[in-house]
Amino acid sequence: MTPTTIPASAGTRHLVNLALVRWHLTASAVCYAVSLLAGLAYAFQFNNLYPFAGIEFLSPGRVRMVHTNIAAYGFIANAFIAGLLFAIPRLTKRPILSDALGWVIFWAWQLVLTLTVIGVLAGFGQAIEWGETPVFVDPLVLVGLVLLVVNMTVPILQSTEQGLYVSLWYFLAAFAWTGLVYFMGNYLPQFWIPGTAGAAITGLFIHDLVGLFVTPIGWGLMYFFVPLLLRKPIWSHALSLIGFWGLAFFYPMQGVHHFLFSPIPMYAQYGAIVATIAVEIVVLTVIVNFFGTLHGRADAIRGNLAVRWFFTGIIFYAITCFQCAFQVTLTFQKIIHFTDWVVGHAHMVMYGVFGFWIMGMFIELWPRCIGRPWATPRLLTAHYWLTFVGIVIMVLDLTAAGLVQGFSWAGLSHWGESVVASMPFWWVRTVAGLIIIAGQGLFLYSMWATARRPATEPGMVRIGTPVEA
Amino acid sequence: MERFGASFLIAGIVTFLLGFFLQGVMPVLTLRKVPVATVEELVQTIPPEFSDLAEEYPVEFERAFGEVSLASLVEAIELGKENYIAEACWHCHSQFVRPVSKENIRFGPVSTPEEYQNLMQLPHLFGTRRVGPDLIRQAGKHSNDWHMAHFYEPRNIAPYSVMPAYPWFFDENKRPTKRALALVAYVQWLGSWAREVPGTIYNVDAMRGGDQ
Amino acid sequence: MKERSVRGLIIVGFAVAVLVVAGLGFAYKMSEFAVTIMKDEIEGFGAVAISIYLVGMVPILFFTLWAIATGRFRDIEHPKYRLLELDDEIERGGGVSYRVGATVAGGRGAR
Ligand code: HEC
Repeated sequence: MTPTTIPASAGTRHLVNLALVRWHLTASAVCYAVSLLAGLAYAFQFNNLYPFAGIEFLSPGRVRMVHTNIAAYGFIANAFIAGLLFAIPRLTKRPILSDALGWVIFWAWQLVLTLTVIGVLAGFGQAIEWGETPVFVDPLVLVGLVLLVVNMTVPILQSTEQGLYVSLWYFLAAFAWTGLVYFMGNYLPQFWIPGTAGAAITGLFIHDLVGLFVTPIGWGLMYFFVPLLLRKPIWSHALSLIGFWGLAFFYPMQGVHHFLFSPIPMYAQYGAIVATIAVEIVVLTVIVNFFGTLHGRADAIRGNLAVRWFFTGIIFYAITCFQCAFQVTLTFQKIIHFTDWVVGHAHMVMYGVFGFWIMGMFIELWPRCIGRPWATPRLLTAHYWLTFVGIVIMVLDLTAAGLVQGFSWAGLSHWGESVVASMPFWWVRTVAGLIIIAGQGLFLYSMWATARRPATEPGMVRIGTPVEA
Repeated sequence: MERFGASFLIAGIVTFLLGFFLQGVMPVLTLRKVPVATVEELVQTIPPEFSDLAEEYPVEFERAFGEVSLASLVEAIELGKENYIAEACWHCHSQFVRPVSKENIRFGPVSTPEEYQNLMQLPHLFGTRRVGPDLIRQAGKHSNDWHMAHFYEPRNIAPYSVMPAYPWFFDENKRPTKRALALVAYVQWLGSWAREVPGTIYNVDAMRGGDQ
Repeated sequence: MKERSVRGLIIVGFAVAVLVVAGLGFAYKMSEFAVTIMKDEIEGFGAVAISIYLVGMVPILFFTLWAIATGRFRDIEHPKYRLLELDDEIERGGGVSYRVGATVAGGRGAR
C-alpha cells in the first residue's frame, strides 16, 4: 500500500505525515526557483544587462535581498522542515505533536515568505544581512519558529528509546538556538544597539544563522539519512559526540569574524578568529566520521544518486572549512575581505553543501511522498552533473575574482580598474549560474513528471532505493 | 531519557548565551562609556554641501525640506538613510575604513568606534561587500551635481560602472525628487566630521598601525 | 584486504594533513592573541575573553562528568545500531501508521 492511500481511520494517525512533507518540499522547490531567478537577474546587473532596469520594484538591490532571503528561509528552511517532519517521528516512533499545528506552521511560513518578498520589493528591507525580512514580518517568523519547536520537540522528549541518537542532539540544540538567534539578530541591532556594538551582534547573527540553524539541522539530517542509505551504522557514535560539543561550544563565538579590522574591539576579533580555527578542527571529526561510514561502501556513490549528492556536499564542506581556517586569519583578511572571494565562499557553503544535501533529500523523499519512483533517472543524473559543474566553476571563478579585486585595491589603482578587471569574472559567474539553472530546470521537470506518473507501482519507495536501478 | 533530551536544549541555550556574551555583550560593555548621541545631538553643523544643495535645486529643495536648517538637515539625512537601506546600497558599499590595504590613503582616516555611537547608526551600515568604494568618507569628494547625475545613470559618469541606475529618484522632467535630495544630502553628510585637512594626506594618527 | 588498508591510510593521511595545518593555524593565532594580551597597554585586554572561555567550559565539563557518572557513555554506540533496527521495525509494520495513545512497541522493554 502506498503511504498516502492508507485511510486515516478514526484514532489512527500516520507516523509520518507525508502530505505535510510533500507540501514543504513543494514549497521549497518553488522558493528554489524564485531564488535562482533572482540571483540570475542580479548577476546580470554585473554584466550591465539587468533585465528590469528602471523598474523601481525590481531594483537590483531589492532583488538581491529576495535572492538571499528566499534561499535561506524558503528553499533551505522549507526543505529542512520537510526533513525534520520525516526524520523525527522515525527516530522516536512518535508522531509530531499535532498535524493540524503542522499545517498552521506550513501556511504561516509561506505567509512569511510571501510577505518578505512583497515587503523587500516595496522597499521595507531591513539593513541586517540575512535578516532583510521586513520588520513587520519578524514577529510572525518568531511565532512560527516557536510553534515549530513545540511541534517537533514533544515527540523527542516523549520518546522511550534508550539513548538519544546524534541527529536528535543536533535537532534539539538547533531548536533552542534558532529562535534566540533570530530574535537577537533582527531586533537588537535594529532597535537598541547602534553602531559598532550593533555590528558585532549583526556579525553574530550572520554567523549563527548558518552555524546554529542550518548547520546543526543539516548535519542531523545527514546523520539520519546516510546510515539508512548505506544500510550501515555511522562509523563512530562517540566521535559524533565530540563533533557535536565542539560545534555547540565554538560555533556561537565566531560572529565578529565577519567584521575583522572594523572598529569592533580587537579582543572580540581575536576571540572570533581563535574560535573559528578551533571549530574547523572539530568539523574534521564529523567529516572523518562520514568517510569512515562510507569506507567499504564507496560504490554507493556511483550507484545511489542521493548518496552521491550527500557526499559531494560533505566534500565541499571539508573544502569550505579548510578555506575558512585560512581566510579567517588577519593576513588573508587584508586582501580578501569585501571581495568576491567571500561571495564564492558563501555559495560554496549554502549551495554546494546544504543545497546539495537538500537535493539528496529530495531524491529520497519526493518519490516516497508521492508514492511513485522517479520517472526520469537520466535527467536526474544530468541534473547532478550540471549543478556540480556549475557550482565548481562559480566558486573557482569568484575566488579568483576576489584575489584580483583585493590586490587591485591594495595596490591603490583607480577603483574603476577593479571593476573593469572583474568584468570577465562576472561573465563567467553568469554563465555558471545559467548552467546551474539549466540543471534545476531538469530537476523541477523531473519532480513534475514523477508526480504526474500513474501510481502503477504500489508499495512505497523505501529509503535507500537507488534511483538508477 | 526525558531529562537527557532536555539537557541538549539547555546546553544549546547556555552555549548560545556564552557566545552572545563574548561576541555581543562584551563589545557593548567596552563602549558603554561613550554616550550614544541622538541624531539631533549629533548633527551640530550644516555641511556646506547641504547649503549648496538648496542653492542648486532651490525649487525642489524648498518643496521638500523648506529652509536650510539643522532640522531640515536631520530630516534629509534620515530620509536619505531610509532610502539607502531600501535600495540595499549597503550590499555594494561598505561604511568603514580599515587600517590595512592602504585604505587610509584611498578613503581617508581609519574608522573609530566613537564615530558610530549615535542613532544614525541604528541599524549600522558597515556592509560586508565592496563592489563600489567605501562611503563613510564620502563628504565633499564629489559635487552634488555629480551625485545627481550619477544616481540618474552611473554610466554617464563612469562608463565602466556596474552600479544600478536609479531613475525613480527623479521626476518626469528629470528633476530630483525629495528622495534624490535626501540621498545626496545623506551621502554628502557621511564623513563630514572627518574631512581631509588640506595639504596633508589625511590624518597622520590614523596611519599608525596601518601596515602599508 | 590490501585495498582496504590502502584506503585506511589515505583517510588517516588526509586527516593528519588537515589537522596539522589547521592546528598550526590555531596555535599561531592563540599565541598571537596571548602576546597581544601581554604587551597591550589596556589593562586586562582580552584576558576577560579568555577567562570567560574557561568559565564557559565548566558547565560542559560538569555535564560530561554527570553523563559519565550516570552511565550515559556505557553503551554509547547503541543508538547507531538502533537507528537501523527502528527503520526495519517501522517499515515492516506497514511503516506509517501509528495508533494514538497506544504504547509504542520497541521501547526499552521490547528491544
Ligand atoms: C551593484 C552594486 C552597487 C549598488 C547596489 C550601488 N552601488 Fe554605488 N557604486 C557601485 C560601483 C561599482 C561604483 C564605482 C563606479 C561608479 O562611480 O559608478 C559606485 C560608486 C558610488 C558612489 C561614488 C563613490 C566615489 O567615491 O566615487 C556613490 C556615492 C555611490 N556609489 C552611492 C550609492 C548609493 C547611494 C547606492 C544606493 C542607492 C548605491 N551606490 C548602490 C556599485 C553599486
